[in-house]
Amino acid sequence: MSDQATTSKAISVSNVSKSYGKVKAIQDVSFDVAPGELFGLIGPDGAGKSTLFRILVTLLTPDSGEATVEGLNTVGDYRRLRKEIGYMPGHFSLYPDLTVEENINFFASIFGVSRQEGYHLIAPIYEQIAPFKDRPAGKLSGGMKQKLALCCALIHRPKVLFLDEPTTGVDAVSRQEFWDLLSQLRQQGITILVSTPYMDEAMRCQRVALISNGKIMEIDTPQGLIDRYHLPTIEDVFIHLMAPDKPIGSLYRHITPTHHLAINVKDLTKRFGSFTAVDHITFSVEKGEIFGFLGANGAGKTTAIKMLCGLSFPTSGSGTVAGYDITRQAEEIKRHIGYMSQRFSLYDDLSVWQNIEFFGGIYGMTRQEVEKRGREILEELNFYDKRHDLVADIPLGWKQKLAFSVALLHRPEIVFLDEPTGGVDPVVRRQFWELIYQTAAKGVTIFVTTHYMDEAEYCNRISIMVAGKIEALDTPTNLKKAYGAQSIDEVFRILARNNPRNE
Amino acid sequence: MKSSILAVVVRKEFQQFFRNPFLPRLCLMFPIVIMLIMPLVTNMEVKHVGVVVVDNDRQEFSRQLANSLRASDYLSLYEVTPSYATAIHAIEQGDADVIVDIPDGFYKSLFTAEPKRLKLSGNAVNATKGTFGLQYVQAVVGRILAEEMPASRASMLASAMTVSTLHLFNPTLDYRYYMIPALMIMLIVMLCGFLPALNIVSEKEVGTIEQINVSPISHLTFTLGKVLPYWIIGLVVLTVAMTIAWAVYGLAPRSSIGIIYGASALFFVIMSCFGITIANGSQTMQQSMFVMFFFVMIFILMSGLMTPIQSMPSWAQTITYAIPPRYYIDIMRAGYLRGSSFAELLPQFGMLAAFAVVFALMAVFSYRKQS
Amino acid sequence: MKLAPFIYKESLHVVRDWRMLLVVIMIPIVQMLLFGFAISTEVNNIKVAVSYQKYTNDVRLTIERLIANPYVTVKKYVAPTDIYTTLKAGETDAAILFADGEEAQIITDASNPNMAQTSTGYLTAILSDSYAAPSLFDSHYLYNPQLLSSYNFVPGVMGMLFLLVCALMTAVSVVREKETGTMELLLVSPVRPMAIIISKMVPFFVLSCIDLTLIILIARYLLGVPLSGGVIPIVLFTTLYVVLSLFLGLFVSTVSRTQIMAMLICGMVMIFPVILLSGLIFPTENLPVVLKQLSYIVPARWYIDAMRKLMIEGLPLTDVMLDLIILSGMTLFFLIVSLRNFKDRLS
Repeated sequence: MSDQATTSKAISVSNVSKSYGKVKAIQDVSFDVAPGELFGLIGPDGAGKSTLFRILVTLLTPDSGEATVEGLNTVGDYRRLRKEIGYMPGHFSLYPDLTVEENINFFASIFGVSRQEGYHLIAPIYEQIAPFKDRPAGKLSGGMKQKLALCCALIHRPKVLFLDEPTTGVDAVSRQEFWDLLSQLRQQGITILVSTPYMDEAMRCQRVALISNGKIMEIDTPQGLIDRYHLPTIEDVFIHLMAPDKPIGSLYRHITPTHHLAINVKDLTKRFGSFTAVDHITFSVEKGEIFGFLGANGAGKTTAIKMLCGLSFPTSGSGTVAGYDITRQAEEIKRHIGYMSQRFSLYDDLSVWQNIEFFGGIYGMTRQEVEKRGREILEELNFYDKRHDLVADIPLGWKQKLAFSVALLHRPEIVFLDEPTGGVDPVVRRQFWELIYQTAAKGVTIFVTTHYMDEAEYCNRISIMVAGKIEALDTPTNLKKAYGAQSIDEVFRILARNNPRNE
Repeated sequence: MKSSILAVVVRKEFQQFFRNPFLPRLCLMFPIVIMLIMPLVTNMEVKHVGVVVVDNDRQEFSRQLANSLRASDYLSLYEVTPSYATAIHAIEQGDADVIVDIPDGFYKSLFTAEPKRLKLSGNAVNATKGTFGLQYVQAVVGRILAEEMPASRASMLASAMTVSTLHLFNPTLDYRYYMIPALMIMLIVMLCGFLPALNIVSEKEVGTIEQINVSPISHLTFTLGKVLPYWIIGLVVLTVAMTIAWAVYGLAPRSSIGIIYGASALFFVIMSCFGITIANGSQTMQQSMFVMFFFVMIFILMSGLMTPIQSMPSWAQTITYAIPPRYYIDIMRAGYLRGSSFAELLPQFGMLAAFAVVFALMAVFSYRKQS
Repeated sequence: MKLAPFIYKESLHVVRDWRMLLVVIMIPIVQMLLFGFAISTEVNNIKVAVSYQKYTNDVRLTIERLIANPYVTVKKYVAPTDIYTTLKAGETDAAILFADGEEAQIITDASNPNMAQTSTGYLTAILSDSYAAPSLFDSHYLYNPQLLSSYNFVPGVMGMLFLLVCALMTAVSVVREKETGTMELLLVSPVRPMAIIISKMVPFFVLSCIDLTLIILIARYLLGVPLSGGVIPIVLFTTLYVVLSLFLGLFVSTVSRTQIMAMLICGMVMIFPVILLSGLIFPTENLPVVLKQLSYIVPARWYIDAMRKLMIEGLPLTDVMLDLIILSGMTLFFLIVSLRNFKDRLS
């Protein structure tokens, strides 16, 4: 097959450019993908990956240049082409009011296949969401939604499959299952173009294109890139190419525990009807610690965090956060914690400074305090000069750092970060973790959830939640030792594979 | 609750309001358009009643009758025809509303012992127009008959008493004066009701409400922070509308302006709290809009805004006591046209205040920070 | 292309949101009942205050007649000097002042001019005792002998409702798929754009049929509207109007990017003018010339006009040919324009 790859092309892009007004999204991009190839598109947020996908799936017409897929021109033959391709957009494209099963059935039927035909293919992933098959898609957790969207994209077997960041927010085990599945599809001769922010996934592509500012910087096999740049991992290559001035080194820093407890919970439980989302969890977090709260999608992490933040009443159990009782002093807790969700909930239509004034204000800070503290945090980020920019106009990486700083505005004792780095490229993630370390060094407790197992290694201690219970809790080093594993990734797989909720 | 926190929330709402490319313009243009165009449209005066005369008599009297129908301010003579079928056709086509059917030998019969009768038919598809139309025609025809008829019979039409009429508060019977206060109320129902509902639901859809829920801000401060901006916007909109009413139509409140603003201040609270309550219970914008639409429809129809409450059957009148705009409309009309004093309107003010408290409590308690 | 799965999915969207479904079904019921039984523009209860300077026999007889009249309630007797305050406080709608045995004055609260005018008419008739006069007339009402104002409202309610159900909901439902990104998937799939459009419209069409059935049943059996022209022309005509509204909705969806925008366009540009210009509440004859001409381009105006003729006057289909031709033309226009505007790519 690899011999034919040079002669026939599944995807051919030559000199394609596309601008939105003055913004050049794609500039003079050319590359070819051979039939049956698994080709990765890698680049920072705003590099033009999604635009490229939309041009290839016939949704956008390029300003210049031309692209063909399966020999069909994306402009001229778009109607015929649409019969040959499958596409999964970068954001969840599900109907939130339809149930899991109804979504799958619908997407199967619009491609003219029955669910049974494609079922064996998606079975490993679908079985994980099957227990929730009668639940509306809108009520699923972020990772579950992503899995469902994957199932919907894979249910029919197109000749060419376009996947725009398909695994954002998906846990490590499911990501591996998903990539196993892609390998299977490839062996059946399906061509796959995929973008991803995970560098371990990039390694599983046959070739990758590194794209930045709408231009392709490198195309090669992942190993070829590593060899050429003499760097240990593809992530290092990425960081080297995208931000050459940043030093590459380990992030882990040791933090001396203070033996003051920031969080201490016992037998915390939350039931929804007959379903026990969180099942008697008991743990404590020390002041100044970076605590990684890991778990597969649907393991109950978000529900647990909501109880800790005073957003949800526990069904039973007790505990304190920042010294306040979670059942009786929810409002006091809120005063002493900071919270940042996956969505970095800043107001898009306000300027950065107006957001700071607002969030400072609702925590009861005086005008002077907000003025002083706001200036302080923005100067740390080197963002003070741009404080009057609208949030909507600033890049995703900055938004994330600002959301984090805003969560720290009222000097909370604990910050809860719920998947703060979902879908973010390695450079931005490293910068973000630098910020986390700086904050922890000042004595602020960090409580963080993530699906990046390399980030788990940066934490002082981690807990791994499986089916509502905490199955393991220790320092990363001890855990690896205890499970005889090389990495936390492995530990996670060992634990999550035994997940009773998957059966 | 700290007033400084409230100030921060209100300021943020205004920053978002003015950043929006559409909302400030809507809040300014909507009252202007409504106040300038609506009074031209919302006219229920019955004028231009089309009359068709079926003349089977063919006398000088018939022509005279047609002429006086033509001369009337309220009537317009469509045609004189010998055929009843033609007349019915004119009604069916909507060209005429009343048929005056003069039977053969009508004029002569007036001087006999057994006078024939004029047949009048009104198109009552629109009941108001039908009744008014018939009344007008009867008055005009009655006057001619009185002139024409022998004295003995004319006495049948003459009054036992001389009756004069005086219209107080709106001597020219200008329908616009009746509708303008109602239009102001519709404006406020639309803006103060729908905008806060949209605002809250969009915070839910974007997800920023989560960030507010983890903050220590109290239910009351949050709700007040959402009500107050629309309260201020309401005041501005009302002032714009009142200025237009005065500058364009020469209509200014007869009561003190304090009565108008006082009642409005209460009513803004009622409407925005109502919108917030609906939004707190909705997941999507579409849902909140449809539910709002449903209630606004009932509010507008049942409050006496367009049709008099006293024309309703008693069960329906009982329902209107539970409809807050009812009291507001009473105050606005009394204040604008009759010049009633605060003491006279005390019951209405009391009810508005009570509703404001109830709706505010509903808004505060329907907001859930915790699940 | 099989449409069934598509239509099934669109119907699920509608059924899932039970709150909205309930509202859409309740709107015509509540509106019809309110218009039919609760509100009316007729004046049937005039509250009067009576005041006299001299109590003559004539005055006594007249007051007795006032009391006997079913449309008039004598609320209170006041001194002539208190008439103004009584009216100002809104206690009564009118006052009658008997100056001496020969003269009477009717003083009305004209803040509601219609009410004032009608009360004047009634009261004058009672005071002048001119009962003999109508004997020269043989008056009767055509089409609506009981003078129910509901007759006039039924077509108006229909004109507004179908626009709301079909146009607004179609527009919002298409735009929502654009907003959530699912439209991208549908466009990339081999499904033809026409199939997407048709399946979007089917549930709202069905919903309109349910609403139409409800309206016809309520109109016939609760309000007693004769429907003498037969049900079939009404159904045919309404179907045309529903299709027109569906394509209007599709047209709005092609020009709006967000759900709010679609809702505002539908509300401001379509439903608002319908209420104002179509004769739903305010008669079109009173419109200023410019607005009257503007009303000719409002589809609901023609539909409501035709419904009045078909439902209430019971005229045959031939009498609404003009409305039929104009509405068909409009339907064709929006069908072509909206299909041309519906892009099967992103812009």
